[in-house]
Amino acid sequence: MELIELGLDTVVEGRWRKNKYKVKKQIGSGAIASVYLVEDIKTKKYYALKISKDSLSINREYQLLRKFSSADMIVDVYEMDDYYIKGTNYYFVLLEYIEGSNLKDYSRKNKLKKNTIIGIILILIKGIEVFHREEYIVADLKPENIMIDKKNRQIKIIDLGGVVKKEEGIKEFTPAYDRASWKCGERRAEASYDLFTLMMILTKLLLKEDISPKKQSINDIILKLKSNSIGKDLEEYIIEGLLGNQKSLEYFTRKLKKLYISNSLYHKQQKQVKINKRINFFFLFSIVFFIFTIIFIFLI
Amino acid sequence: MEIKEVIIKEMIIVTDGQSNIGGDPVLAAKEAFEKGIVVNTIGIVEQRKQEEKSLVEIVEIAEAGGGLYEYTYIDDLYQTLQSVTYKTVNKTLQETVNKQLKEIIGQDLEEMTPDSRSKFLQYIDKFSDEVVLQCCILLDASGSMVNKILSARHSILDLIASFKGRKGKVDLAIIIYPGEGGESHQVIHNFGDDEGDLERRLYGIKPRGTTPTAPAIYQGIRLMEDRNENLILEDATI
Repeated sequence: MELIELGLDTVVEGRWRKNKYKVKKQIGSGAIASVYLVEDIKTKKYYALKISKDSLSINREYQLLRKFSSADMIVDVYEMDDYYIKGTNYYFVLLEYIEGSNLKDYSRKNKLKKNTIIGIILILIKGIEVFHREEYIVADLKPENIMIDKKNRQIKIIDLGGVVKKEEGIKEFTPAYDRASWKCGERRAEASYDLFTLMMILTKLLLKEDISPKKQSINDIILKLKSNSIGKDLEEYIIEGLLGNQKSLEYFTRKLKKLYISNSLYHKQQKQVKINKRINFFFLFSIVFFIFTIIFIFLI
Repeated sequence: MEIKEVIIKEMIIVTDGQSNIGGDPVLAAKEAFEKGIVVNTIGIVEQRKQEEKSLVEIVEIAEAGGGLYEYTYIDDLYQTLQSVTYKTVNKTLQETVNKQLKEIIGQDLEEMTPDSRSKFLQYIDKFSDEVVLQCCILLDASGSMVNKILSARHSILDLIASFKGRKGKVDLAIIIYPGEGGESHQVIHNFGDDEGDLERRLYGIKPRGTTPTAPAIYQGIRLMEDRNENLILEDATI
């Protein structure tokens, strides 16, 4: 499908609402839509403009973003309009612009500590619960669609293209996070599907390497987890999530919270042990120094 | 035609090259389209090779067949099969709705404001999961597909797995071209056949020979016409 290409400084004028947006730069492109950073000519405010030839897709995303707009984790949406140029009608939505990196780039640039990763997953679970309560499945959750908003210290989900109602067919998915590709279950819109996605994101963040169901099997991944010394508890937790993901999200959330707490305590303990070790070292050193001084004095 | 009566009829040609014998596939695709069958084409390209010239034919076939064309790496075939199918479903439903709207209120979806449009789009979105889909895959099994047939097999099985998640029924047929024993094509799975056999038959494919695309398309048309006749008869006798 041909994607529209908007040049720098192009002014996109909404066909119906007549608002004008100046293109600043392209910030993303997918199979269906392209995303641009734009400036509202009147208010000078910055927004993300997601534009596509597929009106069904754009409308679906707009309705979902509006429906879940009260959730902090979902990016804000402002309007939906058409852009009519050169005899063709394009469809766009105007979204909140999040400055920062997505989780994929963020985890590449920063060496994330184990507990930070666990914390991020806990926040994502909260976001997913919002959808599940309304009988929706997120389905295509992946690090590329999760923004780390450093300024406001928030995590935002920016793409709802894969969201479907429970029991419907899943149309958009990414093989690396799709349990059917890993032969760990069916590609069906149910809560456990999202759970598997989360476990895979957790795995990817911990292993810090690319994983692909085309080149590896789920057992390869499990072996990698085991050889990565992430701690027996966390290891078992993830394995249970990947292979036996039929238990409830609530069960997994509870366990993860416990892991988070015990990990922070462990870190506190480790810090204390380090400090104690240091104190011991200086103490020993000062004693030895004292003994030498005494011996020295006696020799003179 | 009422939207609830719509059956999406789709043919997907999966090939890595040019047809070299058997007639003009562009004409065959045109005939399919005239009979209400959308012909989509997927051209398999090697990583980074400039093969698009030899696949110009897939563009022409898709255009004549009222369908979409996509280039893809063999590894991404299953996603392309899915996306091309869902795009066809959505496009066909939208066209049906547009026709009706034009008749009833003199406007089509594009001419409406986004707000008025959205109710129809949401209905189409929901219905796209429930509509009956008739899909015929034409798989190139010529010599050049030898290294790609394994992946193609997985992709088709994966597509079937995805279809199981749909609310609406999917009728599937698979034709390979060329077929065994010098035949120009072979039906390895017909509409209504037992799926248990399908995996075994897919594994039995041994790519070799030339690429007779046109005869395969004509066979696909025949299968679909026969299927629809049979379904009408079934309804009539109930």
